[in-house]
Amino acid sequence: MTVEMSQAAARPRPKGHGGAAPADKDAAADKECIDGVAITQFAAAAPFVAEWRVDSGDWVALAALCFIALVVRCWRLHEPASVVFDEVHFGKFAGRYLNGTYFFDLHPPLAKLMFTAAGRVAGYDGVFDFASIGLDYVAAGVPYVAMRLLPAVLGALTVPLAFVAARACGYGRDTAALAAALVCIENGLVTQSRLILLDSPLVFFTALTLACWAVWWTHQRRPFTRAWWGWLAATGVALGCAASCKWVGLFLFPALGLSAAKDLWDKIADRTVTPARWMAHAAARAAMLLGVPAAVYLFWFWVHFSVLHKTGPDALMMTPEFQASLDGGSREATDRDVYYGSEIRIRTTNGRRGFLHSHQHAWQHDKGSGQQQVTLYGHADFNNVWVVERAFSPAAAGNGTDPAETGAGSGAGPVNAVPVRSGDVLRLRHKATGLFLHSHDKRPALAIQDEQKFELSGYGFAGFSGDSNDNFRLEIIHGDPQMAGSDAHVQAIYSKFRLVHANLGCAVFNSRRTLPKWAFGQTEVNCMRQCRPRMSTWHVEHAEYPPANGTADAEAQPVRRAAYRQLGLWAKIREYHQLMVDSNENLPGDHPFAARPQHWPWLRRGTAYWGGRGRLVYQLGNPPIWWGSLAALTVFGALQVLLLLLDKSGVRMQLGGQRAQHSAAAGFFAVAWATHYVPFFLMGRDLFIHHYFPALWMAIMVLAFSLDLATCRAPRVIRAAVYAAAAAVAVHAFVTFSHITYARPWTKDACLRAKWLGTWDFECEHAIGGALATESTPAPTSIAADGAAAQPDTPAEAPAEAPAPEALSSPNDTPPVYVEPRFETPAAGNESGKEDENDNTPPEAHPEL
Amino acid sequence: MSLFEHELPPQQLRQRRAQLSEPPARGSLFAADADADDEDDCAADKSQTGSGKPAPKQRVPGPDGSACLLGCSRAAGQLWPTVLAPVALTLLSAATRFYRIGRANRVVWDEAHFGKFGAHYVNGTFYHDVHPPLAKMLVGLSEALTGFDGTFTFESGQRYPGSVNYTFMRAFNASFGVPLAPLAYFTLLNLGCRPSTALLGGLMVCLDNALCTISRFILLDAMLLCFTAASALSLSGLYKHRSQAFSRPWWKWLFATGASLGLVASAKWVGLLAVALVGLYTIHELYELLGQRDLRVSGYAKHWAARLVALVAVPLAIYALCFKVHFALLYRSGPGDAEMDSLFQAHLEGTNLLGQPLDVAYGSLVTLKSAGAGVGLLHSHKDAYPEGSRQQQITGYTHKDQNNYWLVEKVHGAPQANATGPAEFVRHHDVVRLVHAATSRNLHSHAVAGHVSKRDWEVSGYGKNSTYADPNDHWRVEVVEELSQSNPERRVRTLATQFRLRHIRQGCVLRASGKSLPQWAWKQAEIVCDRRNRLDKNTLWNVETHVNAQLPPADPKDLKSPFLRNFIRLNKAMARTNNALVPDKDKIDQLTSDPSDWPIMRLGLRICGWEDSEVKFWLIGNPAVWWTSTLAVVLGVLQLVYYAVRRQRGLCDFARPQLLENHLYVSWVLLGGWALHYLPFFLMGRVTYLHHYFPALYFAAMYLAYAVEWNCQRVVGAAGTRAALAALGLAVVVNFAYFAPFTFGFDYPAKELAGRQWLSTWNIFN
Repeated sequence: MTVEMSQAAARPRPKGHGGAAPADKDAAADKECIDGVAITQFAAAAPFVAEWRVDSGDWVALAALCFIALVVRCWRLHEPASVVFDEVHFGKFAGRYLNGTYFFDLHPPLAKLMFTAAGRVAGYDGVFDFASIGLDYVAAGVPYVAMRLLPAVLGALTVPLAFVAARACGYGRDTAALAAALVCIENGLVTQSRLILLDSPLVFFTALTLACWAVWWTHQRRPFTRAWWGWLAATGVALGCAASCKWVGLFLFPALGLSAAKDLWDKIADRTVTPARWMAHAAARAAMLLGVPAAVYLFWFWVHFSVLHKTGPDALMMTPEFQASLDGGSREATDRDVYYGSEIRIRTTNGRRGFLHSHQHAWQHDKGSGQQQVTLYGHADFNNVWVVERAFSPAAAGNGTDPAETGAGSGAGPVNAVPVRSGDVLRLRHKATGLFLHSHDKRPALAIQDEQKFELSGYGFAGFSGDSNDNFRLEIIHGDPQMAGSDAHVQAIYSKFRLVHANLGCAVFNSRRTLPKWAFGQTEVNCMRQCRPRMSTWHVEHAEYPPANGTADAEAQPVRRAAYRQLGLWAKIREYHQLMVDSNENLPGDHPFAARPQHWPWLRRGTAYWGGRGRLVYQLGNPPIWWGSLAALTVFGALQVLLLLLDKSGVRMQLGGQRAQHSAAAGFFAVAWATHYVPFFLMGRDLFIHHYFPALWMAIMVLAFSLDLATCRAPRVIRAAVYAAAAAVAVHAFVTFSHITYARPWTKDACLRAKWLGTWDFECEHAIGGALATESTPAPTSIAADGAAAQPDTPAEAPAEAPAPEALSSPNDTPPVYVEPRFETPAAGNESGKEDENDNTPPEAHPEL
Repeated sequence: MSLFEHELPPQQLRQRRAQLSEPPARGSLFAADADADDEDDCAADKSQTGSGKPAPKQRVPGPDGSACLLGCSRAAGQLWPTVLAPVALTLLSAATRFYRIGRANRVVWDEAHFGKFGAHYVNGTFYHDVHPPLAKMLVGLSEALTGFDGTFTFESGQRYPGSVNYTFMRAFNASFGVPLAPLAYFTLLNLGCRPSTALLGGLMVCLDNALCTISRFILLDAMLLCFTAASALSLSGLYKHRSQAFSRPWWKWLFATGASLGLVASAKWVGLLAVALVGLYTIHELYELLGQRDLRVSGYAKHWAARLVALVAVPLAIYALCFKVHFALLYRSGPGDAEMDSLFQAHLEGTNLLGQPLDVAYGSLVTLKSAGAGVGLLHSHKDAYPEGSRQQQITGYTHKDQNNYWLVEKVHGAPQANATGPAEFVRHHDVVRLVHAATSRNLHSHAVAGHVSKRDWEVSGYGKNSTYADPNDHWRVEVVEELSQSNPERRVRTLATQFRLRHIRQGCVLRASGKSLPQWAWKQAEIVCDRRNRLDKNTLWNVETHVNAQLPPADPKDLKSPFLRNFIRLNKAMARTNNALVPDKDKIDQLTSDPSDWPIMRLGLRICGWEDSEVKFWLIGNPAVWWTSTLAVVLGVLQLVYYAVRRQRGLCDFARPQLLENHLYVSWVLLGGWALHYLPFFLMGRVTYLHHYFPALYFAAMYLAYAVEWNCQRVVGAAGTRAALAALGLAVVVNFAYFAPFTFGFDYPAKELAGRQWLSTWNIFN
């Protein structure tokens, strides 16, 4: 709680550029001590208030930097002339946008929309589908150079933005130019901006946000002026765009948030700011840094859904409501009321998709009952159809069918049909095989240890009328508030219910786990006790009441219909985000070039992108820049701790008058770096070195600022020499590794010599003289990385139904000779046997703390 | 809005202050009693540092009660605060803890676990658990004191047989719950509170139903709470004497802090949160000392050294000592063997691993144990892979059976070792062939993708001994670590040598992938040949059992099992087990609860069966403690924000800066203690239970007492403060009595207590 709040007010800039803050006379005078607390009336609250008057020198420098950066980014843009790395995804997505067919990706839409626009301008027709790495662009006539031009230009613009940010922070033209130069020849950033990947737009918008923020600070002295509002709003818009490219952009919020909070906190100490004015300051920042980005983000999603109006293969990943909202999506209506005798398809409500399903294959005898499998299946199939029948009762066991005795149904619908009510005990007969949905005291195949779970099966045979283990109680959890009666009577689509086994008290439960091959990789359903409703909620997607014995009932009242609601924009965005979060969490985590965050800053290794004849593309940074920026950050952190301790012990070091400037400016970028780097440690998913690029841009700024501090008191010549040396080292490394950046031809010897670290694993066999250099097909060195994530679970399982692989041909023609034990004592079941003759079950984990 | 009050220019401010003789600009909150402050401030600290000038002592120096523990003179007027009040509290506390403690004659709640663990100490059988050993060893001690023979298994809900004196075991445990109340009392006194306030704090700790209930069974929580409270008390003592560094009482409190930290961390890992509290305080204090101008470098170094010894070395020593005793007591083989490495197991009675030959020779029959977690022994069985090569499966298996045995053979083509000739030992860099003893298949690998880890090569059993003589059966032994003494030839030694097996042709390493194979391999651990050269623990193997009739048994001196290594390994295993306790998101679990449920007391916990005639206990807090303390914590944080903003604005609320300083310190210890013991549970992936909140509650209750005095003193004066304290105390007593059936047990239908179901989420009945 002891907040030390005073800071030296005026921060003179000795070199004359960037107007020095005029020392506030009153402020100095007002420094007083109240109760031992030092208060500075008008502290240099702002991290880096500087006036930046753009002069002609700046314009010249900017123009030169733009030109050089464009050359560096666009050189050999046509190479390689085939699909590289994740172009597989993002090129394809551009095609989908052009066609308007729905797709899902775990990244927000803006960058992909920009590629779409570029492709459209260049004449890409959306036919080429970027199916795999190494596919030839030229033969297919894809305007890939034009599409790559977009990231190249955006990547080039990060260079002048570095210059602008450094100047706005009050640094001289030399330092600003050095920062820009280092950004310009950073191999990793160059590689990334030459390809159709999302990171170049992301880094551009990130840099734009920080540059706007820095320029906004230069207007601190005149708050609420037009320029002040303009730059603040620009920051917000850029921030929104960054977050709309990739979620990594969200890390800008803590970065700017901390900066703004620090400033607002300092403003409390400034008594010239009235409370009302302070509130206005806070509100302006909140609106521009939270409201505007949110609006921008939502706007791009609105564009996204407006463009993608047609249904597509990925639509199957969405809820039926979502699918119904797409053009061409299924909007089929169904009978609304469900009666005894209705044929229904039962769908899992909260799981992504899947119908309660059964087929003529049995659970394995050694693991289960050997009765017919019941699974969850994602595709429409006649094996999904179940018939609602009355509960088994021993008394009625003799005469299989029992007539409707409880009178006619309520409201519209077929005469004499009995509607199914909440709380009814009933049976579900599988229409295709005639067996009843059944559960009993057997462990399910995937949870043979779990005492709370029971196998679900289809059971029955000719001449057998069933048993009480076929009985399930249907409990409606909630209906649709707008559909009267849907919480009392089962209505297709509107009533959400559970199926509770009458004897065992377990509920039909979607375990979401994939069954092995012998169950065709379908999803497991079992019957679970004490399960939460989330995964045991079901609804009827389709219901049909068969016409009574062919006598077309002309007088029958019109049948009520039901259909999925279409979603509004907001609901669509919500569902899409839920899926994005889920896919991010469930990303397959075994990519050979994945890299953990602790390996990024020291450039342990890169990512292989592409390999061709005598050439390769490998995502590696410019080592001196990476190592230098890491060193700069380390020194900065150590220096700040040291200064803190020295201050406390009464030694106030001023670092040659640069202290306030350096702490504020480098501190801002160092904090931004930390917020863009540290959170990755919490992510379990596969990460890649390109996730470090936004942080790298900030680290380079800190590097340049640190060199400025180190040389600020040195003679002009020394300073120039240091800057030149730093640039020369970086240029040397840039040239050395330009081969893997630009896919330039390389000899194997040179390639091997360039392995400065043993952990760099670019494949020198692809270089000239290497074993792979003569191969005709470029070796796809990488499988899908990022975007690969959540491809829809492919409908490959669909045809798996019909032909049974050799091991599985145990047809269920003969009813299983299995005498069902009457269920009396749930606990005393026959244990599923020991696995291996020798394998004892391991001791159970201690379930307590 | 008083936040920015007194927006006066500084000159005017100074003038105004000159007019007002006493405090300068002060906040509206405390506008009422400018004069009362000096006398009645909770924070009127006697032992001030910075100003050097001790506060004038106009009235009886009440808050010095704890000093009497250190043997200071005792004035007659101090009899109540220093003797009578704590004694009364202790008696009341003992009464609540021991009252009808043996009433439920069956195993209640986690007595099933901790009673059993105690029995392991009685029996000396090695077991594994997530908690450090101290508290469980104390449970074991209580069992040993009763003459318990270790045969009762403490099955949940089981009736105690006559031979088990569970009443004494519970009473032993409850005796750790008794001091909680007096510890809270003295802590509050040390923090500068008046005796009446401290008494209320003690009373709340004493009469909280939840703290009381949890102390009355054979559980670890009473000890954990006791040590946590001891840490808080010693920390407050340290603060009190901070201006007298290196004085005798200062040293005493410093070492008391270190010792209690060692104890609390050895009881449960939750105790590490208390370590964090003290650690952060110490860092802050050392930082502040930097600013003391009169302190020389040597003096400053002395501060560091004292803290390093007392607060780092002492707790670590206590923690390690507990494990030393733990290993010493558990000298027999038991259910926890598999968590430790072979070398450790060899030293357990009943494993018979020590009498084996030391150096592995060609022709030896061995089992190979992986250093990876949960992998076990290299195993094979007759089943074939259903895909891939369809050759025989190779797995990792955690249990001992005949299928774990392998013959060490020379490569195909080389003359095989014969039983009569001199033994030929296996050395570093030898190329060997491993033959599965039961099926005569060679350990084999080839360029076929693994079954779960598709990027690595499959490992299989192939050929019938030398039938096919495939060079893919050849592996190079690479010794990585040698734990035995003097092994110049780098021989592979039983138990003591950690080595890798590298496939000669592929260059890949035999590795447990850390994943389980599917059902067709009985979910045993997957073994692959790693192509990426990930040389982690999962690639390390050692010989566990070794049979070779030719060789003499090893000298046990060659196979020492270093304590430090066992200590680290066991702690890692505990962490792993702890992290594996994750909740099943699909299951409705009445026992677990979410951290957000705790402060609002949303859930109670049934800790035993709920039959009508059974004695039933329901773990629920005292609403007058829980709800009010939560409210106090929230308002306390807001008040701190308010102070911070006003101070940043340059407005002063306090006549003496020490007042604020003391308030900040007390807030830091109590609110910080609450936050540190509560908020981390939100980050934990593991299952959480209601009783995880109890240490945090202890701090919250003390803060509540403190906050009543701190605020009431200013708003309603001394008499009003007394009234408020009394009212709150009365509410605590009444609520405790009302909920007492849940604490002391009731044997009638729970329905009869339906009136106490104040929240619909409580599960008293149904």
